[in-house]
Amino acid sequence: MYKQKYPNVKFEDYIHGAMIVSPDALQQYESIMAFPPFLVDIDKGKKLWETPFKNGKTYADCFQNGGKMVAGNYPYYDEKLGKVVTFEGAVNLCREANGEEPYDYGDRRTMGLLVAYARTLSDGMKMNIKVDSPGALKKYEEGKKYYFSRHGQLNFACATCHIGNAGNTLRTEILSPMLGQATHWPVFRGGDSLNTLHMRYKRCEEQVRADPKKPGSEEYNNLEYFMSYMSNGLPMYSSIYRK
Amino acid sequence: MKRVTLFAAMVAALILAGCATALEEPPAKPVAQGGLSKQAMDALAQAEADVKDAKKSGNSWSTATDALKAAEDAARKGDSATVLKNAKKASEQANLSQRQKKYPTLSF
Repeated sequence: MYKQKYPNVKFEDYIHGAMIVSPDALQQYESIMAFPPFLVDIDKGKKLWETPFKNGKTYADCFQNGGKMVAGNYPYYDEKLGKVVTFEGAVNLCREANGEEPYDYGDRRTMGLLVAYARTLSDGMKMNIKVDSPGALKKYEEGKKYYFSRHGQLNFACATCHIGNAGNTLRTEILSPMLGQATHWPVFRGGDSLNTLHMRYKRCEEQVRADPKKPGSEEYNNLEYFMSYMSNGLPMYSSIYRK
Repeated sequence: MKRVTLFAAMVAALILAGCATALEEPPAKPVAQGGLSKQAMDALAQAEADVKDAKKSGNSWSTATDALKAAEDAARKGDSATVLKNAKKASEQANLSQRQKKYPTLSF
């Protein structure tokens, strides 16, 4: 569908979201990313990542390859837990396994900053989500259903904007295509406001006048699973500027 | 001596009473206060049930939640007309959100 609408846009460029149809915006983005205003926040996240737990272990001990080039494998379906585990979910599993309290998924100062750094360790890795069991397929289908179901008084589905109207302008904003949407989180909106993917989901739902789910909820985890699978093969790139 | 003992006992009683008062939680304001019409109270109870059902279904609207909150706030003030108006809106929005859940998913 996107190929028909945008025959000249390369597959890997879909990580740029709405900027695929706005060269000016892409130029601005590239200028800002040359000296990102949020580097201080990335450094704070690095400090969180490297600070040992009380037992002396670190986050790097929980992840394969010390957490490098792994984020593209998340979310995955955990057969034992019977649920989808996002990268943020794996961070909290790591904390709990090491005797620490889990972070609040909606807290920018902890989970937000931590993953703003940790995900940069996977820059360049291609999204590599597997849906390879009946349990995994069920969660994928639940995420897909959520994406295509209408929500809120305004009666919008995620797909209304990001499939049916991708590339069109809504008020002053160009709507991004779904392809590539899961590859670049967290984003710093306006250069300083950290938003994880689940925070973005929450805001979208508020905008269509639905009661949003909580970041880290099962619904959002399944939604991320579906969206990430749809971005398979695209390179990850975190953390980035968005308008 | 008797006077001193009596005075000390009074001071102790006052201090104890003060501590007891300080430890008491402020009583939560009931949602519905006296003075609300039966119609308003019934509408509020219905709205609370409708919004609860909508939330349980996982497809509630913020318009319903906000209207219910406005109805509850009005109930605390004993304002029947505002309770009625907002409770009806909350029920209507909650019921619409339930109907939306039965819509077919989008296809392209």
